[in-house]
Amino acid sequence: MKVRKLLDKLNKYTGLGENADKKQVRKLRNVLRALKEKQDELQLKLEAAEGTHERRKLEQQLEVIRRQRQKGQEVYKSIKDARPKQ
Amino acid sequence: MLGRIALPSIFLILSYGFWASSSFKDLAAGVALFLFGMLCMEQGFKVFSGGTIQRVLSASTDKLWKSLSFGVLSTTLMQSSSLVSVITISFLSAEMIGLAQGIGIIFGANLGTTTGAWIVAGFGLKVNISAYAMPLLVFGVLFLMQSSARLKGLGWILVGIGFLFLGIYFMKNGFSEYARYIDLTQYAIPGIKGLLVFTLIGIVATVVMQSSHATLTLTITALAAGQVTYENALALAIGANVGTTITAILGSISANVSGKRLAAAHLIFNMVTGAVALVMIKPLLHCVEFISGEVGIAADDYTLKLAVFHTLFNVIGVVLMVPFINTMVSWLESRLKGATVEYDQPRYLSEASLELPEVAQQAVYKETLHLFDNAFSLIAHGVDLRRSLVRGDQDLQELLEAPAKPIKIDLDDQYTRMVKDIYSANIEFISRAQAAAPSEFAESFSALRRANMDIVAAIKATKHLRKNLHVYSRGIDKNMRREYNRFRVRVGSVLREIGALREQDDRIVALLSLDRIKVEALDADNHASHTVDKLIRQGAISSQMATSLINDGAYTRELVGRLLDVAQALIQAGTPPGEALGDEMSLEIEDIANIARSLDGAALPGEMEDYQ
Repeated sequence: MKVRKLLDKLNKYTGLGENADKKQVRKLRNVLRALKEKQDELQLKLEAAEGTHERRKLEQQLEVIRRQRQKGQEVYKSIKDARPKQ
Repeated sequence: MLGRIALPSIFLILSYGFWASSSFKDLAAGVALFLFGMLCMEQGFKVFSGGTIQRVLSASTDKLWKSLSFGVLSTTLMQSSSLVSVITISFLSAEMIGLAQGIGIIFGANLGTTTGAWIVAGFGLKVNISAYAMPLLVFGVLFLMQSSARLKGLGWILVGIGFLFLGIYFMKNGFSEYARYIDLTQYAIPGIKGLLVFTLIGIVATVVMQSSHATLTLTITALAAGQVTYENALALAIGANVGTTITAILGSISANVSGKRLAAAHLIFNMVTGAVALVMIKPLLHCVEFISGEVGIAADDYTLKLAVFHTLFNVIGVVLMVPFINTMVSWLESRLKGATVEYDQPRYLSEASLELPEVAQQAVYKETLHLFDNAFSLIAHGVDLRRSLVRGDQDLQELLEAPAKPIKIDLDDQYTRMVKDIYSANIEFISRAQAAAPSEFAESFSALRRANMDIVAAIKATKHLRKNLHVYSRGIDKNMRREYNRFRVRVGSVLREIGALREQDDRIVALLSLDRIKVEALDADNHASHTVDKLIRQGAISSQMATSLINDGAYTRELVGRLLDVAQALIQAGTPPGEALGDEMSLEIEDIANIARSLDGAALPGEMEDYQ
């Protein structure tokens, strides 16, 4: 039991093991949150837009963000799945 | 010429010495081991220094006391003011720090180097130092055999310390043996003459060994064995302090003007400090006696008194010179100016930067941005766009109909003047840096190489595009004028977007924003192709005009594509090793094509209706 505790502490300090991806997950969450905010902002703009061109341009930008978020969520899921189950 | 004579002469003198005396063998071996130990330590510290020093430096850019402390601590830790000066020159060349800060570090390094005398005099001579050397060597070699770069670095440091100790031991032995047969003090020179002669000997010895630490250790061991008088030893220490500037001067030869200014500041500081020490030798000795008495150093312990003297005159030098740092910076900047060259030259690359992979990477990154800035002008002018217009916020679509205002530019000549030398230097530097750097830097250096090559390819595409663009964008045929202006707008928009990306600090956000720019660029390209098809179908342009448009459309596509590749490579090069999030979330080329296809022509205001 003591050895296990020691190894856990060592993992924590060296950044190895299950804690290694914590920083990445935090970063990923921040990026996903920022993308979501941008998407909401564009969505509001799209609802208010009148010209065909303006609407299509916003739709294009929205589509880019939508797909990026989708990819980000897949990365997030793969990190979570790779973590050992407790 | 000097090298051809000096080296054989040194060999001859050493050979004679080895033949004539076994004590000389010990002494020379001691110096050789000591110098080898310093080389090993430098090798080890290089593994750790780049990133760590960079982090510490970034936190100590604002205050003078911080750069002074940085100089003191790093030199105390590494026991090599030469290494610290060369690293500082490389940071300064890469413009990671300013000149005033660099001078602060050099002043601090002079204080840090005084700890060496304390270690040798207080510890090296008082205990059987060779007993510590052996285990250090054994542990060091074990670490050297490991595959991890950090453990290897630790191994080099331990082996280095081991050899330093062994060197001190041999020097001590050599002088003790000498003392039995010869009394070197018979060559001692009293008075001012002795002071000057031994200062000069100290300078020459340090220049030859390129290490003031080695000269000082030699002096202390000789003093301990009674082979040099106390007065002459003081002069040797002053000489060592002046002679040590040679390493910085040599290191600055290949550095840019900032590096040269720092080496000059180093020389001025050590010359002034040396001169003050020589002129004030009497009052300084009184101070040494007083301080020694206060801290409990025995009256006959001249080695420790030498350490006190060494520290004292360096502290006085720093106290005297610190108030003049800003004056010194202004003076050096007015005296040592960058060469005004007709052909733009690399600004950030230096031999010294090659020593540390992080610094080399930063230097070549900045140099690539420098190259990109030059290319930005060439490309913008090549498509008859003013830089202010590209950087401004005017809607570029407004340029579509009116005849373009020509900008006179000889692209071949400008390429030779503004790009060629920097590009060649970058490619050579990257190859050398990549060969010397650990594998984790390979991706970054490859990205920088790609960025450089893409910049040049973009300029070449501009050259091809300009031939017809120059004619049609101000011609009388409205259709052709609009389509060529469309090429200009596409190039200008991408240049503008990439310029805006550079303001973005977050690499992931920058990389993701690049996807949007790519979609817009591809959309504009699709739209241009459709328009050309429509013009051909309607018989609005001749077949020759159509082929010109198709060919130049391909050059525009190439140019825009290369610019986007440059932006991507620069973002990737600046991303820390192992950071893959931006790449993982970026869209694949198929995704970008799909979005552009599904929302065709969206990026072009007011033209959709016309196109449909």
